[in-house]
Amino acid sequence: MRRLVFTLVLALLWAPSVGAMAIERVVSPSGIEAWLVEDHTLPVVAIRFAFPGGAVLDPAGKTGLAALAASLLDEGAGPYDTASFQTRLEDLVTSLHFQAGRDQLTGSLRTLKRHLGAVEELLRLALTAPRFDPSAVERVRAQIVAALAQQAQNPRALAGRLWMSDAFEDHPYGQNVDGTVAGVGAITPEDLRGFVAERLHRGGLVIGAVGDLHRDELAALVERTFGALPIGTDDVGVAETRPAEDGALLITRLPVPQSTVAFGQAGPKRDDPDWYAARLLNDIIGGSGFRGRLMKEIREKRGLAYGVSSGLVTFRHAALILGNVATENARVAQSIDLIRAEWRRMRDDGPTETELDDAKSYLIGSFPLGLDSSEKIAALLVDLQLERLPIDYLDHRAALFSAVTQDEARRVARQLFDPDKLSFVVVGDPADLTPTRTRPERRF
Amino acid sequence: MRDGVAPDEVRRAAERMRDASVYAQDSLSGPAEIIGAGLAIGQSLEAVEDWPGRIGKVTAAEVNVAARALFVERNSATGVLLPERGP
Repeated sequence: MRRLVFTLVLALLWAPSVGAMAIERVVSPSGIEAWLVEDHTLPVVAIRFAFPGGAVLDPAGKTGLAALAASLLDEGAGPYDTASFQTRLEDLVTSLHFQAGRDQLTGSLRTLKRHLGAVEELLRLALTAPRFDPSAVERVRAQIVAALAQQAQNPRALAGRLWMSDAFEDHPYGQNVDGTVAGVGAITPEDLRGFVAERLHRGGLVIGAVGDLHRDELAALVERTFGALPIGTDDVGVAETRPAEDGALLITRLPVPQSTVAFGQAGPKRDDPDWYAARLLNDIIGGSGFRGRLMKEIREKRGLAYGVSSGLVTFRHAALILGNVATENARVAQSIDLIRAEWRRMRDDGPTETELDDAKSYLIGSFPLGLDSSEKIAALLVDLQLERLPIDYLDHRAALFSAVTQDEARRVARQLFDPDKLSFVVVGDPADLTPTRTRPERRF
Repeated sequence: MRDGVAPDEVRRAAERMRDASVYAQDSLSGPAEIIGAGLAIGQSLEAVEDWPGRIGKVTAAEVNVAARALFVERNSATGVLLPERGP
C-alpha cells in the first residue's frame, strides 16, 4: 500500500510539470514534419535536425566520410568561402554545426529571431551547395587525422574503440565514427559531393525547433530550407545486429601506470517493453555519481578507482550496456572480478525495494533539470523522433518508470545481466591477467 | 595601437556582444552565475542587468584609451611550444 501511494504521488508530482511544455506537430506544405516548442520569452530560435544514416554507411576503405563531410558543411557554401561563411555566422551571432553519429547526421542551429531570415539562407546553402574548397578540405582532413593520432594514444578512447571493433567485427558499428587515418586520407572531393547528393534527403529527416517561432513561420522555414532536397528513403539498409557475446577479456599493452577498462554486453533496444526496467536497473548498478553499486564496491569500499559507471546505449540496429573503469595496473584483475560479481548479484537477486524507489525518484526528478536551454530541448525533440516515441511521451514518461514493479525488475535483471557474456577490453599493463583470446592488431 | 579602432567596428562589436548576452539568459544556471559573480565583486544588481546598455554606450575613443593602457608589450608574456627534437 505504501509503495502504491508513493508511486501515485511521484506520478502526480512530476508528470504535469514536464507535460507543461507543449510539443506541437508542424507539417510544411510539401509534407515535411517538424516538432515545435513555442516559447517567446526570449528572442532565441534553436533548431536541430537529423538525416538518417551516419558513419554506419561509410564505404569500405573510406571510413570517416560522414564525419569529414559533416565537418566541412559549415566551411563555405554557395558564394561564401570558408572565411566569409564563418564571418557571416559571427556577425549574425549564430552557431551552426554539423556532426556525424553512427546512425544519423545531425545539424544544430541557434540564432536570434531577428537574424533568422539571413541564417536560413546560410543553412540552405550549407545543405545544398557546400563548396568543399581544397584548402578547407585539406585543413579539416589534417585536423581529423591529428585527432585520430591523439585518440590512438589515449587509453580511454582506445579501450572504447577496441571494445566496439571487437564486439561488432563484421558490422559497420565496429567502425570508428571519425574513421581511420588511411580511410580519411582516401576521401576525395567527389566522395564528399556524392555524400551530400545521396545522403541529405527528406526521407527519414527529423526536425525539432524551440523558441520564438509560430507554427506557420516554422512550416514556411522548413519548406524553404529542406523542401528542395531529394526525397530519398528512411531505410538505410543496415542489418540488425548484436555484439559478440563470448565474455572475452582482451588486453592491449601500453606502458602506462594505470589501465583503462571498457566492459559491456548486449542491452535492450529502445522499443523493448523492458527498456524502462533495464534503465532503472542500470541506474542501480552503475548510475552516475555515487549512486551505483559498482561505485560502492569499487571506490567507496576499496578505493580502487576514481569512478566506475555503466549506461544503456541504444543504436538504431543494436543495443548495449557499456561501462568503464580505470585503476592502477596491479588492481585491474580485482576490479574486473568485482564487476563480474556485481553483475552476478544483480542477475541472481535483482534490486531491493529501496533501490528501485530511489532509481525511479532520480530518473524522474533529474529529467527536467537537463532541459535548461533551447538547444537542449531541441535536441530532445530530435531524440524523441529518432527513437520513434509518441509526441505526448513526456506526459507519460514518469508513469512508465513508476509502473515498474519489483517482480518485473527482478525478471528483467535475471534475463538481462549475464556475467558470462560480459566482455572486457583492457588498455594498459595489467598484472595477473591473461586475455581469453588474442585479436588481430587493428590499425587505427 | 597606432591607428586605433573605428567607430563602426566598435558599434558592430557592441551589437554582437549585446546579441550574445541574450543567449546568456537561455539557461537555468547561467544568469544565477552571472549575477552571483557580479555581486561577489561589489557590483549592484542594476549594474549587472544594465550591462548590455552600458556596452552600447562605449565610444571608439574610450576603446582606444583602454587598449593603449592595457596592451603594453613590456607587461606581456609569450610562451612558445617547440617539438622535442628541435625545429
